[in-house]
Amino acid sequence: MATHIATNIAQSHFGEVPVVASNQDNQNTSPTDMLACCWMGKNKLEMKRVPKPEITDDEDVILRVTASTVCGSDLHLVHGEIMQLKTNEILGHECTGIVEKVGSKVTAVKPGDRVVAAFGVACGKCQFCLQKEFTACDCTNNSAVMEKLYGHRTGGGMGYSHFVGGFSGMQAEYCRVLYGNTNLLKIPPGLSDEKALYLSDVIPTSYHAIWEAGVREGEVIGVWGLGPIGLSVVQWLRNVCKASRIIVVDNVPQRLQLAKERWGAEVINFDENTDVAARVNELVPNGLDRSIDCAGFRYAKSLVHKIERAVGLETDTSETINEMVRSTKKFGTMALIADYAAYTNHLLIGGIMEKGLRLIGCGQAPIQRHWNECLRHIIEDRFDPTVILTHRFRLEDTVEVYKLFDQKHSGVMKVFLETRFSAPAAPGTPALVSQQGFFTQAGLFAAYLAAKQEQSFGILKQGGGGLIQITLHALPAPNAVTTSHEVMVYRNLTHAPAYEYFQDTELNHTVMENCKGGYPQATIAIGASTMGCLPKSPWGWLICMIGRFMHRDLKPADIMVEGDTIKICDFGMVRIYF
Amino acid sequence: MATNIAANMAQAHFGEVPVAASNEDKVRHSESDMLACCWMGKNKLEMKRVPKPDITDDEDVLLRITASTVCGSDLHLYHGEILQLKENEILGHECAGVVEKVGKNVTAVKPGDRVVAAFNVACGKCQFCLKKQFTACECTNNSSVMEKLYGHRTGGVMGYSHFVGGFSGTQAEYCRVLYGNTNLLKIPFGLSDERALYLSDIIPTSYHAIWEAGVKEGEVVGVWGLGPIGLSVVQWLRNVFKASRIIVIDNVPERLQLAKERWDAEVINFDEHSDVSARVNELVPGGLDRSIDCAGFRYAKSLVHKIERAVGLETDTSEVINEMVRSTKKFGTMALIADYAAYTNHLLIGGIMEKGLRLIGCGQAPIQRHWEECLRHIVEVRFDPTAILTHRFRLEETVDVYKKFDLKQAGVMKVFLETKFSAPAAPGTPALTSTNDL
Repeated sequence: MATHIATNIAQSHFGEVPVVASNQDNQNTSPTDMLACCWMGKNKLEMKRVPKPEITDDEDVILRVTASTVCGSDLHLVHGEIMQLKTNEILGHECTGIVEKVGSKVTAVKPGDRVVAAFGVACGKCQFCLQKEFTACDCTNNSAVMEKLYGHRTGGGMGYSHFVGGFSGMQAEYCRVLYGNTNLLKIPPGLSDEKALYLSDVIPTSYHAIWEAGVREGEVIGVWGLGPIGLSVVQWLRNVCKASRIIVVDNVPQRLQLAKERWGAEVINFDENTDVAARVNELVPNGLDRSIDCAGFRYAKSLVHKIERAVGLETDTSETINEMVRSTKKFGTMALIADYAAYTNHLLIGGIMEKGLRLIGCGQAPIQRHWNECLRHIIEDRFDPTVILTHRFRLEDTVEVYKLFDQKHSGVMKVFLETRFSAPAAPGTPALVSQQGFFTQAGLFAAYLAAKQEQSFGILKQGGGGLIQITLHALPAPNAVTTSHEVMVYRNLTHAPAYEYFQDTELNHTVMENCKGGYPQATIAIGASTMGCLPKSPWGWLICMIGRFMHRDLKPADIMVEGDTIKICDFGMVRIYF
Repeated sequence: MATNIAANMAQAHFGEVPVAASNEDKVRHSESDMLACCWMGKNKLEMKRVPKPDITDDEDVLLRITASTVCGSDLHLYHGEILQLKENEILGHECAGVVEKVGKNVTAVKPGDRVVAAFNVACGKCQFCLKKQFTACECTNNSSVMEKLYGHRTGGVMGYSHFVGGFSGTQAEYCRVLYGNTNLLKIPFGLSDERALYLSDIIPTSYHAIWEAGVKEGEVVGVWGLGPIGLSVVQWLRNVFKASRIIVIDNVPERLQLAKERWDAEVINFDEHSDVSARVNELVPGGLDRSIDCAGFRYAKSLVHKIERAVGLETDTSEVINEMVRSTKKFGTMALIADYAAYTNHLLIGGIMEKGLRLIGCGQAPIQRHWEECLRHIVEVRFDPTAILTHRFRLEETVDVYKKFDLKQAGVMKVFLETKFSAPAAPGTPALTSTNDL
């Protein structure tokens, strides 16, 4: 939580950059409200009834949402890894809908039209939009924090925090689309919402990756990460770009299987072939012509990177990029379509320079540049967006859907969220899932919510992970302050074993995850990666290089391991720097 | 030193990759020996008398050297920061000379020809050379250490350790140039050695940086680092590529002054403007069209990076790249012509991805791709390589030259090293001096 408080304070301090686009909906306080999925804190989402949005700027369009979904990038928000998140704000950046109302300057659509909305908010008129670099729009993102971090502000995005403009999202029954003349695509009659929905992001985004990578017919391409983006990239490569060979890298067996059976990809499961680059070079002597990263910043594999991300020494892992560096031929190209947020360590920059590699940051994909072309391929049956559509849920179940999607449970790849305005499922697409029993697989959070209702003390659930509640007699200040301070730090970490902290008159209660503790080898990894610079210090000192916090008391017993997830505990002595 | 020993042991363990090019000169054991600058350890160079090289492979050319120099990248060797250095090996990768002997397959030159030698060793025949990606040549670098580190081996380089093939260098009186049909450029009659010498490396290298960056006429370009490469980049940008504005970043006042007065660059001294990207964005709202890094991995500024490099937590600093990320416009391009060796920390990868930046690793420049074009600009007087030639010394003083060049003392930028075979100094170029007089 500390990062969000810090970045929100920073934004107030710098002052918002004045932009034309209003990011606060002009909401009336009539009884018209709607259901929406709201961010309430790290790993906390709630379906809430909120005011329905209204026309605010002259080029706005109000959509009645008929289809929405959850994105891999939404998971970064859930885990609290994106700056400038604020509670009660609506998530979601992909939808189809029916135009309900239009502002006075809207000419491209009219009420009753079926449309897809782009996830990016582009004005359509500035120097960048005129060059079709819509996600570089100057006019829709007021984040002074981004300007300080990156030097310039990218364009705005729907439902994705104030780091990209703070617009309300589309996991809701209605949404306000800004600059409706630019950011809406009409859906041709006869094309189902299921086939149109992913034009808001995943389809043009995967297309953009290949376009930026400069793929030519007959080339040998590597794709890292088989989420919805990666799988769509594979489909484009096979069906439209006519790559000669497609090498894919992931560890989820059914995703590898799909890529192999459907599009003839050659698969590398990195749990089996841990030296991915060596394996690629066996398959492709001299290396790939081009590599595309569809995995991204959160997916750390080695202990070093897991720990560094956990304690904030870096925000992004460099592992995928380094594998690509070693796997790509000299003077080849590597494209990053996967999200990266800030800083990385141990990047093999020497390999990039000496091998003459082109590392292309794709940016957030300028949907409006590509979606007409993508639509054409869909209509002409060269590309089928529904290949990755595995489940259909109700909007009401969005919070549970996030959990399933995050844990890659039950073969969930990309979902269709229906609202009360949706058409029935199109033939050949998944039917609605509505049984409550389906969601008990979501695990920890469900157990926690149930236990919270019971107000029980002591151990809440044994085995299978579960939760433990630690109850202490109230400690006099400053210890009580230290404890709540400690939990505040936990909430800010992506892996926190502590979920809740509450006090009653005499007792402090901390609800934590029940992890096995102590892993001696972790100390060696920490020693190798971070302690070399302070050989004489007690090894418990750990300095966070981006200056956020210093643990000051790290010991083997504080490093918990569950499977191959690393969790750090005991922030009782932590110092936080903003 | 430990890294170097480890790297040499690793190479021995992996086994050398078999390549066609012989990196051991077939030496003659007669009284034919020569003076050469040899690497003897970290910060230790010695002028030694060593055997004169001889024809070893059929396409070799033996050169009598008439001009040599010291490069900014030689300083990485001097400081022991390159893997697989071995004692007693000759440094130097830039020279002009006269052909003395040719191997039987040499057709492009004959004894008596004046030539420049490329710093890189390219076979001219493999799939990469045929695409003019000469520094990706498959046939001239046997380093299995590099293969493990980077995934593939780049081409070989003269006088630059076994990390790039282990060939003897050109800070000497003679050298063996491999694949003479590919790696030599004839010097036109009337063009002095002073004007030809830097075609071996820095002139085509600086040209390559701009070519890779994709600079178009009228653009606003930033150049980090005003060593010989950076200053040459500025000259190309002004005289040939017609950039509209050139922003330069460095801290050596006379280099900033030269860029400003000679080529009308807008200068940023980073000792005065410690937030370089803020200053760039003041000068160029919206950011640069393109940025070119001519500084590189060794030049750490902040305490964090100095410590990390010193204790081996990283080998390369990311500071220049991060400044470029914040200074370059959305969907702009950043080219790295400066050397980077291995790993860096705290790189702003999020800025690269989210701003849609193209980070172009230029590779070691494929000299042979560009040198004829560069020669044309020199002959037609659009580009003057001697703008950065500040001093002329004898080969015998090479060790002291390294020291002065490293510390940027006495206004030393790029030097001319003369041998006993050299012509006298061309008119308008620095006269011979001694390092003792500096």
